Amino acid sequence: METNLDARGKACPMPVIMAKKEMDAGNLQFSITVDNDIAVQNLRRLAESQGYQGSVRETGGVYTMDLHKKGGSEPLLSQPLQDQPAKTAGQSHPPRSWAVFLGKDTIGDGDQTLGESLARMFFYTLAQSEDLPRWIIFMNRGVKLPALDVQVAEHLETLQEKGCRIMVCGTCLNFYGLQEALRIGMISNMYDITVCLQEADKVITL
Amino acid sequence: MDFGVITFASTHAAIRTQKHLERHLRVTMMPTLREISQGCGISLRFALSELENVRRRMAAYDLDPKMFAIYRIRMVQGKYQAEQVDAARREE
Repeated sequence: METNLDARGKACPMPVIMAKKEMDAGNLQFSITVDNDIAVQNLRRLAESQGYQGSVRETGGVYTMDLHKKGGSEPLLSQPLQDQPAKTAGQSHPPRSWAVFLGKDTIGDGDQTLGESLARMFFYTLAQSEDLPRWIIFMNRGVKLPALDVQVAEHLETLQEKGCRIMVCGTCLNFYGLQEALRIGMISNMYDITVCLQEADKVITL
Repeated sequence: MDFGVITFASTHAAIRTQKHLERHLRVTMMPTLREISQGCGISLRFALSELENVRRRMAAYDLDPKMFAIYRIRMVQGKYQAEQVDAARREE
């Protein structure tokens, strides 16, 4: 009998973790129910990266995604997916997903002031670019940029408005005593950040 | 959108000037536009409404006039056009 995972009410990234577990267990065909569109998008990306095909049914804000392994032994009587390209085009980020990862508050090692200046100019340039990362992730000393650098925070705001997700390590903010100082971004955790790094087509580490 | 930039002959001068100017007006550090110089460099961007303020402050600032230049940047048909603006004279 087909497995149906109930991930309603589960916060990101739990639905993705549940689905990934099922895939890792070798289940070629299953469905998962979630209650928000972001989870659907995350699941779509997971499905794509794992060679699964997915179709979604929505009833009153509850989404059920049927997944089956492409080329698997039990091809599903799949529903047409013609609505998918339109959905992708309507999203505010480019379909190719990439991430920027900063583990320090400078670009490169060397002089601190020069490194901070390069970081400011990097985010200035990125904010004006058309090809934007889906995620910008700050960890360790990198969290000082969205917390303490006014100019970087302004560029991050522009990037966020354009659809980038700014993820800031909560453990790191706590370590440096900067929770209250955070100017922009979503306080995140190792689970979310690891999933983003796994899902990204490429990760640029500065 | 039009804006102004100050370019510098050295990155040290740029960093030092930013620290000085940001006490008085809003400046944003940015990479020097390719339309001005192909070399890597740091520029300071400011709103054109601050142009006179910038000219005056740069004239009064302890930096050799040969070490910086002020530009007015216009976007024309999707490309930046840079027009150099004289710094105010030291005597002003």
